[in-house]
Amino acid sequence: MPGILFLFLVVRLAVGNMDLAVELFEEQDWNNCRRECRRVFDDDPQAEKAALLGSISLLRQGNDIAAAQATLERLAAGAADREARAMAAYELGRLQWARGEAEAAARNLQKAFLLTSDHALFLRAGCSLDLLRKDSPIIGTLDPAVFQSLETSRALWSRDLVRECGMRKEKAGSILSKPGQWVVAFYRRGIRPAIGARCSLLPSCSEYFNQASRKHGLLAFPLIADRLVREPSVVVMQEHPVHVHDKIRFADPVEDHTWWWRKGCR
Amino acid sequence: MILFDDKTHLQFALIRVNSRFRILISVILIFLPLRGFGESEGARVALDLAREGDYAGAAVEFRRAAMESDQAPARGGWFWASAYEYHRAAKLSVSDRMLDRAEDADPALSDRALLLRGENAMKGGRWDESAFYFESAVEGAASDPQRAYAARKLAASRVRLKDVEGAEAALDRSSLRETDGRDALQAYREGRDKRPGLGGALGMLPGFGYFYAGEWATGFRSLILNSLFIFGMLHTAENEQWGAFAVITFFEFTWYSGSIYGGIDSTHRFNRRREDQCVDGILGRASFEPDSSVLPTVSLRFQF
Repeated sequence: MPGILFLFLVVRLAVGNMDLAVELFEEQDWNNCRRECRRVFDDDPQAEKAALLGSISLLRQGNDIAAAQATLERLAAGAADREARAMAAYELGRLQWARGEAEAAARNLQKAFLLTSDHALFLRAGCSLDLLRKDSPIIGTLDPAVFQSLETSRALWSRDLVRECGMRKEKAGSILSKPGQWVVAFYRRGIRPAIGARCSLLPSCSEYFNQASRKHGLLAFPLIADRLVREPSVVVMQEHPVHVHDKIRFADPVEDHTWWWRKGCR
Repeated sequence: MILFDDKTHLQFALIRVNSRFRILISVILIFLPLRGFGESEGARVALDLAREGDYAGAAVEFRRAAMESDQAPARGGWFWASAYEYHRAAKLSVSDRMLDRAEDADPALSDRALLLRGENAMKGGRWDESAFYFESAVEGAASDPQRAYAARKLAASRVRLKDVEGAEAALDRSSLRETDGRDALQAYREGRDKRPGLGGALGMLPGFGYFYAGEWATGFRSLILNSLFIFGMLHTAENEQWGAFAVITFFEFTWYSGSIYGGIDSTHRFNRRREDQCVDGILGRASFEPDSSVLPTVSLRFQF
């Protein structure tokens, strides 16, 4: 989910000592934003906004989701600030939706929808709730008042907003990327266990083929053929050494061999 | 050779010239760093982080120091230091934003901001932009070392833009003699770029595209592999082993397409390497870093 989503709210929620954290959040520098929030929180354990922003950053980073969820649950249930409560409920709802916990997600999204007085969050919570209902019919019927509000606000949902609120599934790549991925999967299951990882380059040849297949479809075949005949020369030249697990490997990313596709690039 | 920009240079010159002020100036020089560090506790942490290689962390600490500072020049200096660390962390757009703030806080920093903007553009491969910034940096340079540095960078940007004449003109504006840079440019001018289209066409003869770019070993490997697989195709076809033929043909198509692709890619690689050599020759060991002992005063130390 784009981090920019919360700018509208976050900027408004920002108080003096949160300025830097908010900026880092805007820049999607999750790690430093989390650190900064931690610092503010250490100074003032009552700083709900720091806890909120820190837990959202943790979520975006994908680390320790359980801890982030616990913080969000605490804030959604009992934050003193109404908007902080709504925001935490919204984030929690999205997280639960992504995990397939539709009923809990619907409860939290509905809570955010009803609590907030912020226009941006109101639209997003409503739109997410509507999409969730379509995604998981098991939720059942909504409270008639909520349903009515959703129907009223529907006209305000732009196409971009609907796209933003939709739960995107991981793209598997186009059909043209499949042959390369099959070859890599076969190699990794059937051949590599027998011969071991022996590539001296980074990424390894199978990973290079995999990346090239995902990005460039069938053009991955000439790319990997070129890589395989070049490999000994790249090792001999010893350019761009990288330490990986106490071994030296040589960087040779896909982009180094496709950069000239871009028009006007030298 | 290490040169200092005007302010620092002046301090050392004064020590040499007038012995009566030696003690006084020494005391000032000793207290300069203290004045800098006294501004923010975070700056010390930032310097430690930068020393440990955590440039993004250092940038955040400098940024905090800037936001906490209520004096405009100091704020500008910290923002500049933050931009420098973001540049080192390869966060180029954030670095540019920090430079905007640095200049807003202290317009006198514009010459040093230009240098860093040029560096950001260069790191991002935006040669037009880097040429523009270094052009301005040469014009507005506050000291000879700064001018020489900006001139070298301008020349390098011009080479990337395939403007060899422009590069030569840029070196003429340097305050140093630039013998190595001129030699590198001369060598570049005397050499010739390879044609990627021709490399691809030659690649239809397995390995010849690589030969064209001077990659002999790779070319021979491609030639041998293709020959083996073509032999395998013919042999299996003669014996009507169509299953084996299909498998070998699939691999041969891969090697063959790789030979054509490699012919094009290797010529691009050749051209880029030639360009890199010229740029390396022009730049030499030119680099700069802020004198961390006087931050938030931005005093640059150039090395050539």
